[in-house]
Amino acid sequence: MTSTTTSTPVSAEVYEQVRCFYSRQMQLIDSGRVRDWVETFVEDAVIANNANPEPARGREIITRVAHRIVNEARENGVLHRHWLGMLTVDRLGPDSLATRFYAFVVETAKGGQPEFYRSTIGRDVLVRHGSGWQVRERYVTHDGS
Amino acid sequence: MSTVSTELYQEIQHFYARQMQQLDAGEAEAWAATFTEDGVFEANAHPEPSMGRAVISAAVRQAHAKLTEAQEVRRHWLGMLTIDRGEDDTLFVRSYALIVATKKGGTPSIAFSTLCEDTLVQDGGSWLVKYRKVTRDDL
Repeated sequence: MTSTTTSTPVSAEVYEQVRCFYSRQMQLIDSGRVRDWVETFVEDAVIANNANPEPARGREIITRVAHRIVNEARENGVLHRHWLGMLTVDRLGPDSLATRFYAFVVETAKGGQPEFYRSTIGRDVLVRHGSGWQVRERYVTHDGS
Repeated sequence: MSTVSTELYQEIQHFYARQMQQLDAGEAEAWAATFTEDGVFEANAHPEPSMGRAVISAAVRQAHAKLTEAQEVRRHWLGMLTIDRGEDDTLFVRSYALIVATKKGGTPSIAFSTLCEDTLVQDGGSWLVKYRKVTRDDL
């Protein structure tokens, strides 16, 4: 596990850019726009989490997993909202960043009360893509699992 | 007192994000290093204030060991910052923090809602907490 201690923080401008990137990315998945969401990852991106032994490698598999998650929520009649915050952004190289963030998911059933569904910490490697960024690696730790 | 630039506001937000991550990860030394050598941590949940880095780091180490034993993860979500600049470039930061707790096999819940009042001073290129007062809403 990388320590939070050593750090090369980025400029306020890049920090803001990355925050906007995540807001958009979270909104895309919560809206079920899987095709647009997956484009925020590089072609051969890897997503892993502590709850699943097998990481998802490449957009094709990532898309399949995302569809499954989106469909599951639909079938259960619930909406998910990803809230991402407490973001730190460190420079890895001229075109790559290491980020860490907290994210919780609020789940609301039709006519129901919102509830915390999950609390997580995420670690990403972002790489430059045009004037923006894409995720190359993501590791998510689900609290409590 | 005067307000601060957008850039400084961002920098301070970034500072807190890192500091909360260090706290929740139980990185006691790194956490204590974000306070001045003679930094003070006062809380209405504690009988008396922690004074100095050694005491502050020991308190975090102890608290984190307890949580680990209880198989509980806590996440400090800090936001709603107001930042005012005092004399000598001292910053007065007022913020809210929600503490989200998750026990093993459980779902997250809000353990505490708090008010955090900090005095920050600059040391070289980085900011340090000189005085922190945390007030839990339930006490």
